[in-house]
Amino acid sequence: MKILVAEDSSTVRRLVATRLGADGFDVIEAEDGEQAVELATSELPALIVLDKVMPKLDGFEVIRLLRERVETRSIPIVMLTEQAGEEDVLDGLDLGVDEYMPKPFSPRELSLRVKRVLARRASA
Amino acid sequence: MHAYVVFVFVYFLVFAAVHAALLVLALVDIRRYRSRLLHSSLRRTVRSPLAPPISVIAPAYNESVGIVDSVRSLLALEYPTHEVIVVNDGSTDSTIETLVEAFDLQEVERPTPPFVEHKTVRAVYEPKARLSLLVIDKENGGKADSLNAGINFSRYPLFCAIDADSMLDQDALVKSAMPFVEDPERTVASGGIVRVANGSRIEHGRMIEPRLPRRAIPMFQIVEYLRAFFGARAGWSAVNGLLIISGAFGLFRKDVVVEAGGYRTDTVGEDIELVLRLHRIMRRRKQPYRIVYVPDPVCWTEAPESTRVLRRQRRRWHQGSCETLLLHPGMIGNPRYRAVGLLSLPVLLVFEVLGPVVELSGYAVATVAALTGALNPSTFAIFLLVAILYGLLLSIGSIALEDASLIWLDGVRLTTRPRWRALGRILGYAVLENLGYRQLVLVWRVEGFWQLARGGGWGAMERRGLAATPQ
Amino acid sequence: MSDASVVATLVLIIAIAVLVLLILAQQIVHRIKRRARLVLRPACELAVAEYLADENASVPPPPRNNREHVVLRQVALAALIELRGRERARLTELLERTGVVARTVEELAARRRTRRRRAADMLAEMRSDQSRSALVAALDDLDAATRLGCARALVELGDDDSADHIVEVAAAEADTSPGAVGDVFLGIAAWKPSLLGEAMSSTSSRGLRRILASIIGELRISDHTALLRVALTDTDDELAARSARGLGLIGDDGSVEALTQALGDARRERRVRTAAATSLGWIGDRRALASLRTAASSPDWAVAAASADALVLLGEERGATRPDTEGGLTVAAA
Repeated sequence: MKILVAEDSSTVRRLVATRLGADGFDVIEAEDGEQAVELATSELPALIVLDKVMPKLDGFEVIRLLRERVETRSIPIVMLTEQAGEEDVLDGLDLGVDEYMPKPFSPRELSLRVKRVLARRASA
Repeated sequence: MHAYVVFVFVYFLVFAAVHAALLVLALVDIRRYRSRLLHSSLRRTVRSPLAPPISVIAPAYNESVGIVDSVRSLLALEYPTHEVIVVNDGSTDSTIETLVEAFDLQEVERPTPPFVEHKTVRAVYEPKARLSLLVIDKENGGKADSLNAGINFSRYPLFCAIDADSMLDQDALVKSAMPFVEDPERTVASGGIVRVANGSRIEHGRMIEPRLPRRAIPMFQIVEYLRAFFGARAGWSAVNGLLIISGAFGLFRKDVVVEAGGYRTDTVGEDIELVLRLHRIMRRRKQPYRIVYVPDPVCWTEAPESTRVLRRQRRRWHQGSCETLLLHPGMIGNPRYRAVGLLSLPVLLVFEVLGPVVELSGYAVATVAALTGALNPSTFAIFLLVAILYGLLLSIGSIALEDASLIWLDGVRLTTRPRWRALGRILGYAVLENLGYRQLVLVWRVEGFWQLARGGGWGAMERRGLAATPQ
Repeated sequence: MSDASVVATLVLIIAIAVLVLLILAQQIVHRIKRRARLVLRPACELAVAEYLADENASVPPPPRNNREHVVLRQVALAALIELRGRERARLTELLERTGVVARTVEELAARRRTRRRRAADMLAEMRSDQSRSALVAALDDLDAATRLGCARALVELGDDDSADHIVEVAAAEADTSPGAVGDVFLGIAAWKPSLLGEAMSSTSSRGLRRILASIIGELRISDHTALLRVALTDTDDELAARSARGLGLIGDDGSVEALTQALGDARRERRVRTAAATSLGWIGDRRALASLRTAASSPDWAVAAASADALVLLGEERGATRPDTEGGLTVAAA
């Protein structure tokens, strides 16, 4: 299963990718918001792990753009966020995210949430 | 005549000395910032429950095209608690309708708080969802007027005043709030580095890829911005004599600004004038305070592309500086106001305001003297060369400092990723600047005097149309 | 005059040339260094990531030279600030076993205070027991920022023995570095909240009391409600305002009386009264109704508005301004 990890810090990206890789996923990586949108559109991953703060386009804008396109509209998203308040903004902007992973986080827990979201989608 | 040329020469010497000193102070300030900015500082501020909440006030005049993107990017800024207040300055296009639709707003009844004065508010809109956004629809009154309205409705202790076309970095609020976090009671206002966006790839209202502009006019302005930010502001900030916080981005403490009476709407130099008034109030309070400049990039702005718009802008800036000085003449040279009174205001008066007159007349007199033989032609040539070289030295000093600060702060270059060609172009334009552009700007600044003398008639007309920015 | 001009010109030209060369040299040196590090970084990140992902993975070899050490430390710091839980602890272990912690501890004794400060900050992130004793010793460093950094680091480690010393160090800087001191006490709030109370009741420093009032309020530490109630009556208006706000955030109905008193006292500064009004709204106790109704017609608009908003929260009348359900730190709200 393909997962797109969009995170600008190479260190964090490597941590997440390695964790997900060890758990059996195929990981594609994006370093910035623009790349995230491009790769999501071309690769159509099963799920996207997205950081809120990224160069070029921020996480919210990435989600918004992906929601606009038919092919990427329903890709589940797990968002890495610093604040709890982010949920409100996303709701207010009519954008949805399947799970939030507040930072600081544990990659293991992130992986569990990813699996949970995928399982939910599969059974729905 | 010879004596006048000597006078001009001495003037240049003092000018160069002052600005060289500022450059050195800037160097010290940036190093100090670097040493205090621990790698975890920004992160901890973002996560801190003590970070002061901020109201971002965005004035908008006929911005229906880009306003939604702009507001979205402001809502996405990385900061624990902030709200976005859009003040529609009596737009004649569909700015309000666009906002109402995009954010699902509903009109609410809110009496206008009376803290500072501004034109009548026609309507107030809030989103139905729990979004920290407020849209104020107001009669046209200009940028200062709009900011005042925003201040009245803001609910947080700090407010961030921006231009309609400012593109803020995601960490702009964190970076500029840090002085407030470090010292909440003494810090009154802070500003950051504003960069020129011209020529860059911008999509969805966001800076995607910074690039240098191809045209000459914006390139010259980049050199000027570098001189202003690295050659002047950091230096002034170091001695608490900072007068200018860019209208494109400034963070202020609401209570002090309200006490000062908000922005003045009868001057085109509302940005400088407010900062000066803040200095005044804080000195009067006899409390220790600081108005700082964070030597870190925070936002992008569009610089004028054409000479026509640039000319209007420079005239306006000059008029603004003059008006500010005329409004607070008692502060100039007044030791009560410490660095502001004794240093930055006199420098503003002597070199910024009177500078163009002295410089232009210097060229004129020297030319005449050389032609009439009162002055040795070779002396004249040398004099001219020295004048140009002084300017060049300061520009290059600023470029060097910017480069160094990028390396120290590991940040994004003022305009684009360090590349030899980009650096070369900037240096090239720093040289070219002195061969005509600078002199042209001097003429425009003198025109600013003219405009002021005419009662600022053009100023009022411009303000309506340029409520947000010149374009 | 002419000679002087020529000399001046030459001097300027040389100065410009020197600066340009400086720029170029700076760029070149920087790029070389960066490239060298960039080459090492991906491999280092991968090694760290693999070690953290697998409990059974063996420790990667320690850095062989200074450059490798710097890269490993940079990678580790970038990761530490994002991680929590088992992986974080494991990363600390990694840093201990590769000698990174030890080398950072050495830097606590560096001559330049910038390096000491950074070392303290890094150790605060690393949270390694190996650094404990050195940090305690550095609590007496000549540089205030370093002392505060060490205090914060020890708070992160939860060092009981130095608790008093930490509070002492932090309290001493409350007036000069309120932000950094706030950071230390934020950490203490998470580790040993009782210390906050002790500090607040024993200090005479106005700055420190303000900081503590904010922390107790924003973190809603209800154990210290009594302290806030006392501070509410303090002559220091800033302290009183923060305390008023704190009591509202905590939701303490035991302070309703004190808050209504503050609200009704026209001699008190506006920010104290508005904070009191807002807090009464948050607390939601109907005993405050009478007082709020009176204040809602106060000649002071801000007080009236805050009271009207509070009345809305209590289910009465329409508010004058937007109901402030979350609000912000009242460093003197207008």
